[in-house]
Amino acid sequence: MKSLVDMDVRIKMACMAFFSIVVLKAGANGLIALSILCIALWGVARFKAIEIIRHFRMIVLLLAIVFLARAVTVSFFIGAAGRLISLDPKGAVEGAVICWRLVILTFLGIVWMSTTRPSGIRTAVEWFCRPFPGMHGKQVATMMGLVVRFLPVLLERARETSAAQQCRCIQNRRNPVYRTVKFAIPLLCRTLETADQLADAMEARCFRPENSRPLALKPGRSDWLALLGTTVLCALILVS
Amino acid sequence: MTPSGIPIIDVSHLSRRFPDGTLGIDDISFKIEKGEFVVVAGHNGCGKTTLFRHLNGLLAPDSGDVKIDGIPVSADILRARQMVGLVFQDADSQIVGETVYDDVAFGPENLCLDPAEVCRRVTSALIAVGMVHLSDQKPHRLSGGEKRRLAIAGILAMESQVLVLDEPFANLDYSGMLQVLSRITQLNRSGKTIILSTHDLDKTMGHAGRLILMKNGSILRDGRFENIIRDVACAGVKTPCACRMEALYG
Repeated sequence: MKSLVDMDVRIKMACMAFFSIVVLKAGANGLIALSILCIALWGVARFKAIEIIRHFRMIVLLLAIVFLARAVTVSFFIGAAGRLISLDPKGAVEGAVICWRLVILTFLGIVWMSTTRPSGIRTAVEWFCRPFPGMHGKQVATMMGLVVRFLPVLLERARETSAAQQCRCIQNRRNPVYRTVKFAIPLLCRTLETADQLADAMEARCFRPENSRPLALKPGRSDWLALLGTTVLCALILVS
Repeated sequence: MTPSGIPIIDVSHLSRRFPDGTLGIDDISFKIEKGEFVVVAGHNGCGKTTLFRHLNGLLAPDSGDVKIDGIPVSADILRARQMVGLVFQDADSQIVGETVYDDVAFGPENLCLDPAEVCRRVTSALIAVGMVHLSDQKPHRLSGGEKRRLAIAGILAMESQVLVLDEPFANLDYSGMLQVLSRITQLNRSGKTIILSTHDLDKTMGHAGRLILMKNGSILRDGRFENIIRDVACAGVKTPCACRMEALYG
């Protein structure tokens, strides 16, 4: 776990980007190789199975929908098999492969989020933005940091707003547009107010984007080796 | 802490009207000495927050001026923001760091201090508010009282001489309120000038030396706490229980 946490964030981000691209192009062999890598990362990161299950619980429904959308064929007319809904074996294999890819991607995302501090991500984004003229890396990085910081606050506010509306029987209104508008507008107004207050609070503490100090990044030998290994593995998967 | 007799804040004929034409504050003048503990009280919308935002240049006045240690805020806003630390009412919307440590370091880093000095200031501020053991904690997991203390630590790390606290006891339970109040009084004893706004004067009785009552954007009364505490109802503020008991039972 420590080795992944201490890894240079830029190199970790590059490795994740390579794997994410390759997983979309990989065939069965490539997916097996990537799955073995995920198991190895699981061992290194020492995740508890319960944590992984908790994270995956969120996407089980999505995976089921993706699989069913590929595997099940719905006919408007009763076909030769005499059924309205039939299972397409080729589609089922395609659906399983897509789900497999999504599982690998999600797992890589969990590894990334569990082993990288938001300040590290911010610094890496700032570094990657540097060569592009007109892209204000510091501002992009600060914005990302604030989004990460404020997500729990915004989610909590959304829960509060929803609970407050349920207390006043919003569920009796069947019109989804009405319900969405009544939920989204107050939430948006509160979010904008919070953004105003945040801007004032940052200004009160002498914030200037150019003054923010990025983390010192220094890739070590193991970081370069990890990048080399990732590049070789990705190239092999793409070629095979 | 006994006031030093030297004014650190000098507000002179300060007025501000909002873009919709509402009067925010109207011709306010007062001086605050180094080491004073001042409570500003008044009904909702009487102009307390607007006044506080002028003290470190977050708002610019329509007329009048604010001097911090003899220098107008408008002449050097950065200096004013270093000297006057403002703790907002909603602690959640001013905590910007991913961890407690990162949030306290935000201000010193903006002052471009070297990392060793940032670390020293952060540690000292966290010790002052009793939160060193929570350095690596995520701010959204803190209790209300801890969040308020974190907001105070963020200001202390900038080594501000004046601490302005906007409703620091709002939405806090009894233990949270005690945590915050004891830190504020300690800071005042260590020489910091404290200005705070509150509706509930019971909490600051016996600690604050001076009370400013505001009504509709103006100063209604300004004087020693014990001299005007019985007249607070005229500013739409609840008379402290102790005063009512005294009036009832003598």
